Amino acid sequence: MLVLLISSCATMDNSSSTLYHEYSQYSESANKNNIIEMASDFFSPSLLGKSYRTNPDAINQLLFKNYMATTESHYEKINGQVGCLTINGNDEENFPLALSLEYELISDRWLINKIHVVFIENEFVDKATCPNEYLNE
Amino acid sequence: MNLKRTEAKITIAKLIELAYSEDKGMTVKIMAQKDNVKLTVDQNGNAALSGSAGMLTFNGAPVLDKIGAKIKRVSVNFNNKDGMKIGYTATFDLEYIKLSVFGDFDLEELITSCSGLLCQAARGLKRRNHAYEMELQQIMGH
Repeated sequence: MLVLLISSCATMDNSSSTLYHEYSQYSESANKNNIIEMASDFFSPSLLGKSYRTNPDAINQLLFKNYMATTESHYEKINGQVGCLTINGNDEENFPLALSLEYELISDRWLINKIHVVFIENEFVDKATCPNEYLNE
Repeated sequence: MNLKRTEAKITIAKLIELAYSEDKGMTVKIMAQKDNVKLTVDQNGNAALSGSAGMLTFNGAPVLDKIGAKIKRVSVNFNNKDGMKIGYTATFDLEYIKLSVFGDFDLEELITSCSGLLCQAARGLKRRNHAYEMELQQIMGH
């Protein structure tokens, strides 16, 4: 039983959770007071554009983590300089939700390049799914 | 305030109602087809409902303007499952994030609602009507 427990936890070690570790740092440190100042630490220049400091929508949207109240599971895959992280969880009304993030490795830092918030109706996906792999793309 | 699940679903219902108020016959003709139907709205509010039965263009700005955030694009794929039962997948492109919502609704139920009190409320889009939004929320599968 102990072996099984250790084995099941092994999928969550740091070597397979590079992107989730990055996301956790963002999730734990970003808030409405600092997100604009810290944005370039977490998001790619491509996602941010030039006017995020003055865009009234930037704070709420860059704090997309607030959509998720509880986390159930996470999956990730990395292919060269691009990686995708899928986080399954529930919103504040306890309805299922997935955050699908594309990361890009820029100057040795994994930065969020695309953000897709998916209001799921039924079951969670059980694999890393990139933002452009969801329906209706 | 970010766009939430319920608000996204109600927005889709209101867009269908706008199409219906523009051209009842064409809206029903397009939506009732047993094939894929698409609804798109660009950042200027230019909306198009299209399917094998034809295409209807209308102004979606009155609905998008009610959303707190600036919307760059709305794209909805409808899939007629069984007569009047229609499934949908909708994606909202905002400035920095994209949101998707899924569900299904009964077209007849939505249209019937739209023929009475609800449509009156829908046309008074400048003010929110709580009872109307609650009913749309229920119809759109939430």
